[in-house]
Amino acid sequence: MNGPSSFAIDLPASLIERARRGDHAAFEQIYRRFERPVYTLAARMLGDADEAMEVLHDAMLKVFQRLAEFRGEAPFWGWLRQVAVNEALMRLRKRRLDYVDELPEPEAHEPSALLPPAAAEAGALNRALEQLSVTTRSVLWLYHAEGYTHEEIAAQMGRSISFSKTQLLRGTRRLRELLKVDEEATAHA
Amino acid sequence: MPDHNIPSRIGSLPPCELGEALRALPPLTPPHSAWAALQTQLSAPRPSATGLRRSWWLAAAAVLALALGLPRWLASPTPALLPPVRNIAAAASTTGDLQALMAESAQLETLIAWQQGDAVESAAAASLGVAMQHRIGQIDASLARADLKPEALLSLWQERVLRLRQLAGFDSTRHWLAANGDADQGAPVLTF
Repeated sequence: MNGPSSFAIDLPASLIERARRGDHAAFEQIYRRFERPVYTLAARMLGDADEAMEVLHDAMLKVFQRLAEFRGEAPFWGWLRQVAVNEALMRLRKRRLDYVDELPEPEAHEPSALLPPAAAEAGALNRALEQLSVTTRSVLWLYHAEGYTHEEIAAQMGRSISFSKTQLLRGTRRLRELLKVDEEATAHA
Repeated sequence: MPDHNIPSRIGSLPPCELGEALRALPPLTPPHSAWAALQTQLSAPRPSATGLRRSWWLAAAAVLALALGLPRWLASPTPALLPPVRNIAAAASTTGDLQALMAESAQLETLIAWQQGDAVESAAAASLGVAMQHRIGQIDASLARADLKPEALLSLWQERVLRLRQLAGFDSTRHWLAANGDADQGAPVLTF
């Protein structure tokens, strides 16, 4: 069962209403609350600090400029997160090689999500994540950290559900290998 | 400071669930705040919805006009040999019409100057814009001739206004694409 996304911050309706009326102080409060979740999502997906900054800027600007379109039927954070994911995916699509580089695999089964104990160490997990391809890492992040389903990931990336499952399987398997190696290296240090 | 207890501690830990491990990672902090840039952009006046709709229709009309007329225009002979634009000539055949054409020409030039003031454009769009202005320059050179007959004068002014309308439409299209976040301003060039 997935835990809450780091985006899951409920804003007072009055704050959103003030922002809708163009109150810059309200914009700033919203920006401050979501700055790190947006940046983290983009940096995890893209693996590039400069592009993550662009996503942070563009996603926030888009949300503020289109606040009138937000109807409040779903949480604000879900809407903002979707805009941020779209911005990150747009940049990912521009790196076409990374998308076509992936070889198709047979229908994948849901992998066991258990990792070696080294995954509990942030440094080791970060190093392992950095070694995954951006596509695999993005799927892994969207599925596990943000709680998107395979159907949602596939739709957003314009790929099949089995593509999403394959990426998840591949990423989990690779992380296991990397963390096991890391763990063994640490144990022998 | 290195933690010398890590190897033994890791060995004693149970396997870790991937989702929990990812969510437990500390959030990343951007190298600098994006707020200052956002505030500046949010303070800049934005075109109204009505204005945007009007711009869209202007752009669409310009696109259509350019699609129909530009290939022929670019391939047309030098201004001295330019054939009259029949439909315009039919509507404008008097001295009053010549004055109206001159007035419209001046208005279009003002509009074009305003549109081009802060435009950020692609090389392809800039190149096509320069080609359009070059053709207008050729017409101006013909208009400067002293031996022009009244019919030729009227025809050249009609041609000049037509070219200016096309240039203004082209500039509107580029501005509209830029305002709507279309980075590929070469698109209208490829279309025409």
